[in-house]
Amino acid sequence: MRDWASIARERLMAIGGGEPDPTIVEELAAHMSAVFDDGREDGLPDDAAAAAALRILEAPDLLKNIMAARRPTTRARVQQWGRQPAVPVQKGSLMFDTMARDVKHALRMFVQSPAFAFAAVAALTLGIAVNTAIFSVVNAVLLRPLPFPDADRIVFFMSTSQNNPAGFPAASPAKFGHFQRQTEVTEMAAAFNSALLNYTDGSFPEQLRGGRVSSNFFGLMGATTVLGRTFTAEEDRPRCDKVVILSEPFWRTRPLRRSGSRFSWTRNRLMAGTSFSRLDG
Amino acid sequence: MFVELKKGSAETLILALLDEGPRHGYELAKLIDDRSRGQLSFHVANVYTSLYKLERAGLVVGRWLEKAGQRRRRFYRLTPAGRRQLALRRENWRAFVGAVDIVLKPA
Repeated sequence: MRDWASIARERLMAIGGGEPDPTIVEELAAHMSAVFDDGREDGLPDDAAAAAALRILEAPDLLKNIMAARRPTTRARVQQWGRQPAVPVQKGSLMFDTMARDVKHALRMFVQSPAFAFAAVAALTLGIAVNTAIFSVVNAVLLRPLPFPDADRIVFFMSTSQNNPAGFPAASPAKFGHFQRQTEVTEMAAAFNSALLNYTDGSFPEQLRGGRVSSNFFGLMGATTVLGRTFTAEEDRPRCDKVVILSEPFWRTRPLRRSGSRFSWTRNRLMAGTSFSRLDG
Repeated sequence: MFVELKKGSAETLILALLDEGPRHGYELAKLIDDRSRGQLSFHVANVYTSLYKLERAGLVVGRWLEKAGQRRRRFYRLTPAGRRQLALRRENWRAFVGAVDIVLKPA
């Protein structure tokens, strides 16, 4: 028994248009099978009956017409997708009508089963929130460049030892001095240390985040001050004046005592731990 | 034969044959051939193209039917819209033929 469906399918694929509609394939196969059977009943040998059946597939242009006639139109496709009854649709408003139908359908579903709708909205909310959070981290860590000039040239030194091969981010003053002298390896080396500072000169005591840095820290990071200056090399030395650089938000928002000008502080000292520091600039 | 005259008539002939009852494509092709004594023979592809166009227009409906010991076939039947369309086409055809007859008749 001949596989008329495979023959029809291969022929239709050969004339182009991709995978043919199964209805066309099966209907042509049934037709060829009937022609073949009738031919044999009329006394034709198998080959002649088969040739008569295959003659159906010998007009590629007409076969293309069949496929075009079965191909769903845009309107038919949209109706099929939306599972809506066929309604007259004007060509220009097709998209908006479909959208309006979808919105109405969604609202009806919401009213019919509010618990399900709330669960769906909650799941969506959670999903969007998680995705946003993950993207924020990926963006900050991987995608967004560091806010320093030549950020790809900045390295972070770690001290390692046999007991601690993973290393730790610390260096003694002697080791830092050694790093600074290795100018063949690095252009410059700066040190920093984060600290919490107690500020008690405002209307209420505050604990501030701060840091102690070497004088070239700002140069290495490409940072400049809005007012005043950064640290000098002399201020790196032991027993020199303790100089503080305030962040702009800090001195703009804290009600420091000042008389007229924002530079003339009535008390130019900031309590930092147990030490007094001189405000600069 | 009648190549020009045949154009556009396949759909009307199919509608007329389906008005007698549901039929499949092979049967329709054979009936057209037999009843016209071979003078209105359509290529099979044209028969199915016409059927699909009529189905898309909502004038006929196709449905697969399987009979014991036979390959399943797709039977087509007229829809109410198809019946109305056939009546309209019959009327138009008669009017057209009448008009042509009047012109062709020797004065």
